[in-house]
Amino acid sequence: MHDEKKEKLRGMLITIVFLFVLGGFFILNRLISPPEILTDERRPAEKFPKITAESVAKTKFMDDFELWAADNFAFRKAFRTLHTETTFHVFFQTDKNGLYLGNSGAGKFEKIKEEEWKQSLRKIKKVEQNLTEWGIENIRFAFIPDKSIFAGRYFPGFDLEEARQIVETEFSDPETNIEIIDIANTLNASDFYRTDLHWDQSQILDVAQQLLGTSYKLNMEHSTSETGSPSPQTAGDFTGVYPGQLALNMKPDTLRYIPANNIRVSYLDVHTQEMTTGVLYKEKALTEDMDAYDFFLSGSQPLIFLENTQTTSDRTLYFFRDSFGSSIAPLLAASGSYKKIVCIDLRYIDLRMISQVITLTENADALFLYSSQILNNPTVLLVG
Amino acid sequence: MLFSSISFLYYFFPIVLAVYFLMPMRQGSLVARNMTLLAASIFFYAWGEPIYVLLMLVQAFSGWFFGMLIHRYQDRPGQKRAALIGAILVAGLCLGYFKYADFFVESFCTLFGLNTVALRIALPIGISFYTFQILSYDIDLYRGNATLQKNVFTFATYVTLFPQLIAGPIVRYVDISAQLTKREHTLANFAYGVRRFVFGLSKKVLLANTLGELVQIYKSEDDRSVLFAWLSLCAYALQLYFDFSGYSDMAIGIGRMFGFRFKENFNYPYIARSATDFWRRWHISMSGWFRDYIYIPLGGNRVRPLRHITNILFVWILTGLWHGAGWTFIFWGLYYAIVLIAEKYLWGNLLSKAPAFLAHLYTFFIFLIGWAFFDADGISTAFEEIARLFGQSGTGEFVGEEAMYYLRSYAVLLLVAILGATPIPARLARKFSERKPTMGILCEAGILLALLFVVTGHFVDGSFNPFIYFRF
Repeated sequence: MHDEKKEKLRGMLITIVFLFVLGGFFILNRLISPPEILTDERRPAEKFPKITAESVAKTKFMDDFELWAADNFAFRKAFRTLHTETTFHVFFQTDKNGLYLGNSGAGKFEKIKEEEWKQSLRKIKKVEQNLTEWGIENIRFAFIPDKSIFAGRYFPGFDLEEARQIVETEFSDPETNIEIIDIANTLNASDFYRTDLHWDQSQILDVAQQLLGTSYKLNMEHSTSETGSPSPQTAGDFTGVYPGQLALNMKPDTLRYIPANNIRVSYLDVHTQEMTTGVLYKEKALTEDMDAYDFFLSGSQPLIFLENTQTTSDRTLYFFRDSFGSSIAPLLAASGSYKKIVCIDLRYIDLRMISQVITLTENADALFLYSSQILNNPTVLLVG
Repeated sequence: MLFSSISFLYYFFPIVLAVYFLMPMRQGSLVARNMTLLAASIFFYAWGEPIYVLLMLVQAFSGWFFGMLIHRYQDRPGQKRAALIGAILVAGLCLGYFKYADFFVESFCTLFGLNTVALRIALPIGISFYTFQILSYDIDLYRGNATLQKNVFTFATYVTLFPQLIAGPIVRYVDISAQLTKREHTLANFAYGVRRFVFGLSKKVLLANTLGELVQIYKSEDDRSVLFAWLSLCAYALQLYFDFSGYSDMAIGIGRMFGFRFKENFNYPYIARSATDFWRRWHISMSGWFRDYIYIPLGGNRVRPLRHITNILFVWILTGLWHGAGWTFIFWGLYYAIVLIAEKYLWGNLLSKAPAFLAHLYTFFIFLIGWAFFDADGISTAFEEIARLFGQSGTGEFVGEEAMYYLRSYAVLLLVAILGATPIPARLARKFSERKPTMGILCEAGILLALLFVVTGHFVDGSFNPFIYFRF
């Protein structure tokens, strides 16, 4: 081929490729019907922004247009996957915006924000003061370390020693009467899902026992009617939050749970403000809910009551918790150590409201169990 | 609007290309196509600056109007000079008010111990670039180096031309005046433009933005070790280069697709052997502007040494100020003035005879220290960062765990970036194409396609996308 012909071929090929990509996606983006929900990312897709004089003058329209264009781009997931693959397998970066793939599956660095932790712990101390005023004396606290501590090599994630030090320092003043339970050494990588930040209920019986303390025995005889010993059941495949965030097709985890037939569940319906009967395990969550972890206690609720119908105990546990608590609460309830466990999610109910909604009893203990994500965001805890 | 956005790449640009090339060229006239470019450029600017688009148009009109006066009074030197002064005053006042008023008021208040009054004037994007372009026209017209542009729309097309509007290169009117009325639209031109655009876009999105993330991480992390300070500063130096040179590549590429030939703005600055050499390779259009319109009129180097030194100091203080309204930028300008004076009068000869390795190492230190000033919030912060580089600030720890983590995480990217800042990849690609021409063509098209897809992946995934040079 002559040089001139080659140059012509070169020019044509490059021009065609370029125009094909730009023009092709310009047309494709017009043709595709925009999704309502970005299922992988567990969020609604951006709607086309409203054009007003103000939104244009302040360039809000333009900013929102870019977000809309990104959410409604043809083959969005494939492009996001390409970004992730380039990050991990072309540039060999060890994380993508803090998301990593490690020995314990996918995760996100959850560094401790010292000031935020302190603020959260101070809020917990404020709750403790209220509990003491109500006559509750046995108050325990445990934090759930981020699973990045099991990533297998140094990651700039969760610093366990720093966490321990902050908690000890904050709770060391003489006016505080909180017993610190360190569950970090009880946990290991396999206790967490590979595709999610949460722990696997079937793996945390030892943690539940530790949280109950030495005074109580984790009695799981009602967990299965046939064997009389805790035997995990399989609910189905569980894909956590990280495959969606990373846009990677990861092998799903298996969601296992410990059945219990001696628990009665009720919760405060936020819409009707009335007590409603609930379920311990919501099987439909695996296929119908945006977050399959809603399998446990149907997800986030401000107040959930778990009543053990067969225990001889008459005590109550006020369990201040986040989403991790949803999966461990059934174990605590099934153990029979308490007649009633009141799961309180301070993200959805203000501390001041609690005494108005429930009748507090003195014959009770309290337990705070929070993950690093919550302790890093003190503003979400509605404490006065 | 930003080149590195979906709005530009998949909405604005395809429409503009289609409309532009559908516009007829009756008897070779480019009027319709120029009007398309003007309308597109105004829309492009208004997308990011809906209010200040009027300022830009007023400035463009003012530049054109004073040009008409300069031409009209070409036989009356006094009035001609007055017209030029008018042009400079209007452009200077606009730039001075919108870019420097806050800085001068704040400095004045600080100097005289008054309560600081913050005017909070938002900086119009690209004002330094288009103001310099307008001035180049009026000054060249005054000097007789440029021909009059009678058509205000054609002149506005030149000023607002969207490929180089907001981040350069500074295109002088004389360089493209002929192309405004006659230019070639060929497949070869278009394909060359595509290559430059896609490579520039990739430099910006894949390298500059990702390295920028490392710089941000350093600023937000507790690890203040010597290693992390070096890592961050090197990443910043590479980020700046790929951000700005990537933008220049995109501008040159888009310009070429429309038939314009803009001059090169970068020539592998990081392989320079001296600071003098570095500034011949970095932001060439800006250095050339200051040289031709400030430095040489002041006498350049054809004056006595003391005057020459004063000239260099003056020009570099202005260069610093051009980059930003702040004392750190003035200090940065002064720093380079001192280095350049020293190279001229003290160790320039020695440097030219030094082994290449030593010369490169020297230049590497010079520009890295320069970027430390450039990036700092204040002069004291800059000195603190420089001290940290040598273990003289903070804990003085040499290696931190986080630094090691990020060194490992960014190692490949840094190596790619370092290699990409040299002529080696281009040389290898050229050799490969010469040996296997057909394969070379296919590979090039494949690489461009892959890059476009990967860049789109970054856009769609909402990646970090800062714009360092837009503030100028």
